[in-house]
Amino acid sequence: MKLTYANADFEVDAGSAFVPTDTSRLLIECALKEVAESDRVLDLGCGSGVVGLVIAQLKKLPLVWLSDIHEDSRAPVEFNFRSAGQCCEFKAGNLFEPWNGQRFDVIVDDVSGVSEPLAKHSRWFQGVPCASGVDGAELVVRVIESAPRFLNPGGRLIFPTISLSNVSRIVETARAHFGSVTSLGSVQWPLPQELTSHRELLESLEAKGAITLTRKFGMLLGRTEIFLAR
Amino acid sequence: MVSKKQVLALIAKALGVPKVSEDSSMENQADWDSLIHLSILIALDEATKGKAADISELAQASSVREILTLLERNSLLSN
Repeated sequence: MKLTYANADFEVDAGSAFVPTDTSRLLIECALKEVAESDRVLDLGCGSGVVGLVIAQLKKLPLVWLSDIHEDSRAPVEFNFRSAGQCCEFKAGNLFEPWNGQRFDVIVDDVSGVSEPLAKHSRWFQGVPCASGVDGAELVVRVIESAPRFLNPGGRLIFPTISLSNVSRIVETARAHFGSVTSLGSVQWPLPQELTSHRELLESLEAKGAITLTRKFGMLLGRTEIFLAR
Repeated sequence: MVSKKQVLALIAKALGVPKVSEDSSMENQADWDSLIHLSILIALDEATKGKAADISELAQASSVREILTLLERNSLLSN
């Protein structure tokens, strides 16, 4: 598939991995502003490796580290990096499991979460794990809690939040583990039809505080926001 | 309230073009897709201090002219 980021085209093979979304796009745009050419960068939960690849290419990084829970991601990641003439080290494993003893300057958390009852209805997680809990925050919270052990002094964690999860809990966790948490950018998007057709479920999750819905122009909108924690 | 000039400016900004006219629409602006349309609506909502969000017909508007008509009909367009 052909993708365009920062006015550069990338031909990537997603394989059976998570297909890049608008959250991926915003994550890339925000990460590009934060990554320096000398940084050791980890793309955590990399799927097909698009986020890490774009950062590697546009920031001229000699090497990017990537991991995903799926061993199946190895083939598309290595193919995509090889095709682009970039170097990577891929490891399969759950969250930071493959990276014991290693530290990075920037961790780009490609693991987001959507409330599990919603995730099973969405096209984003078909065949891709989403053990994120009812409030969709479990995975990102675990990443945030562990990240300081894998960051160099002065290192940064860049993580996405989606309003189909408990964003408050995620941001509060980040504030408890990092000195500074700032928003790098956000985008709103219409909820896809496969989710808006589950109105009762949406309203029930909203009532519990598990998700936040915005109602505008007769539409239900979701919101992706990217944060920087340091 | 917003002026016609402000509406044209924010639509042009969302589309990444120097300017648009009342004849501009999804049919003749290649980059005007559903996500850009939403960004136009959100910009309108901010410009009207939240009042545009109540106009559900804006979601289906596909041209500058339609947007201006809807704003005028809802007393959000100044002269």
